[in-house]
Amino acid sequence: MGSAERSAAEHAEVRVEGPRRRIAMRANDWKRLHNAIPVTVFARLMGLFRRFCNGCDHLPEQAFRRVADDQHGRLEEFISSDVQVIGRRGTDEARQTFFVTEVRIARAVDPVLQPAAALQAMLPLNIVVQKERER
Amino acid sequence: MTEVAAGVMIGSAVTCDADTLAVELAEAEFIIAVQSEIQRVMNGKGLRARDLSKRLNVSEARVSQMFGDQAKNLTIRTIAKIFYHLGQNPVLTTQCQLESMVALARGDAADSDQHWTVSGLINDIQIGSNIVVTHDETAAALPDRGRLVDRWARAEEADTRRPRRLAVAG
Repeated sequence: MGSAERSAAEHAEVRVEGPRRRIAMRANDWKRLHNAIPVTVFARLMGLFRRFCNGCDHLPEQAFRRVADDQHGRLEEFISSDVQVIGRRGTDEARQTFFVTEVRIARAVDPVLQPAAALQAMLPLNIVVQKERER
Repeated sequence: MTEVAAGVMIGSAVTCDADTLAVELAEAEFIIAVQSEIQRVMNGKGLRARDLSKRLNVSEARVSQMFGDQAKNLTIRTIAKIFYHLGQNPVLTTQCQLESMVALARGDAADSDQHWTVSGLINDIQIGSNIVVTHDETAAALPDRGRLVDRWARAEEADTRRPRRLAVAG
């Protein structure tokens, strides 16, 4: 799909901005990062984005690296647990933009909050057994 | 679904409360700052994870964990040990203090008798990092530390020079 065919929601917009770089992402991908991944992973990615945008060139390889199977060698990825944010850098600007082309989420979180574990599970075993017998 | 230490269930960035998100962001940023500073020093010295694991006398997997998401094993003691073995002197500071240091370095440094080094800040990023690594000028004053780092450097140099033996089948 060419860029002209994309709807407004599918155009990449700048989501994170720093003095040296910025990260552009489509609304759908941005929403998925907010909704579909654990907050710890989201925080890690945001931290990486911010530091990258501030101009850091020494992010650990476990967190930011070139995509191994990319034929052109232009794709790079931010990595956090079960999440890959893949994109490439634009070069025609003074302030470099990292365009996110794909967000891969291996394991999404349940969007509905689960209730806390039942109190019964914390009771001593003999009381739990007794309650079972009562039923 | 993830779980925090207090036992409260938290979900995504949207479903968790603002305070939890702010704390998670602060934690993540600080961990990344530490990891990036270590990586920057390693890149500057041309060291790889394997070299660092040898210096720390731990496995490569353990070093890899230190640079991972959870920064497992990256305790304050370990951080101090890493910088020691890299021959650097880490300084922990706050954004506020860092800004005053930068102002001092830019403006009144010539007149001041305080000699702050902000190399980590100037070389790497434009906005303040919360970890600043200074060039270790004390290394000369601490002969043991200098010797230890030199020993590692010589060993790694020898290791890279050593011809690789190819395994021959049969």
